[in-house]
Amino acid sequence: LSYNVLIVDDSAIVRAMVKRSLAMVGIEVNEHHEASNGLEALKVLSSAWIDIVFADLNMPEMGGAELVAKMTEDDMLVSTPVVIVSSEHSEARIEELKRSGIRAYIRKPFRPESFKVVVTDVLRTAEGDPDDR
Amino acid sequence: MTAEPSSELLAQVVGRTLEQAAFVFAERADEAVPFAGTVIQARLGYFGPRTGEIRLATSTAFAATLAANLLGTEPDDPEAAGRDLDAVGELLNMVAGALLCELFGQQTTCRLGIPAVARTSPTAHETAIAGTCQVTFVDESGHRIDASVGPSQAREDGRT
Repeated sequence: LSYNVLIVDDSAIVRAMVKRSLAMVGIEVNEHHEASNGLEALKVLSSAWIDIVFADLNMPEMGGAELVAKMTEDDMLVSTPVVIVSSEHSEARIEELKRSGIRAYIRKPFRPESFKVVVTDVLRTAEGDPDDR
Repeated sequence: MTAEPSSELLAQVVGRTLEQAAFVFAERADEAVPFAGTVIQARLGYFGPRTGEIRLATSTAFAATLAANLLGTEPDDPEAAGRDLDAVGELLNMVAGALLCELFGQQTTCRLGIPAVARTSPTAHETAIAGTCQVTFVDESGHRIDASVGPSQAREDGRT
């Protein structure tokens, strides 16, 4: 299986790090899209089918939490899984984000293997793994 | 849980982050060779039980190495080229996240601002960090990295 991914971060080096990590752990990417904030991400999401979104929290214009809130309000996007990739370590904040609809959280600095675990888990859930039924 | 930032805590967090994220093994130095040329300095505000500002700075040459290391590539790789500012900003972001966790605990909701990164002179850098809680690291090749925590000058959007 290969996936269409959207990487949202205002730092180009982080977008490149995420892209490289996905390749390193063997996650096949069909279409790869990038955005530097939540507003740009919404534009991409309105024009392309995306299987999974990796988003930072703190970005200019629109951050990751607001992006998730906007996606939750949109029937077309509510089921698109969002994984937050951020330096914030607060458990309280992560729990708050999970309640608001994010599927997983990867803390920076991350290891590429983190993406394997999270992507497998998130997309298996999204596709409805028979084991989960 | 709320602790005061100390140079020991800052050194612990910066040392660990440099190792884990950028594969840089650096020792804390009480006296370091002054920066010779342009310095890349990143600063980032944090907002929680207390507010403040964290800074990270290094030479332009070493910032290019940091960019390559973050990407797991060589400094002459086209993908790493021109990402020196971005690399220092991102490392600061990681340092700040870990430092806030140490200062305020995992159960406290804190927010980080957006890193503001700029090239500056060694003198301007020294002036900016004067009077703050600061540490200097030197890696095995003699490259200097400064980190400091002080009063907040930045807003959450990174502007001053």
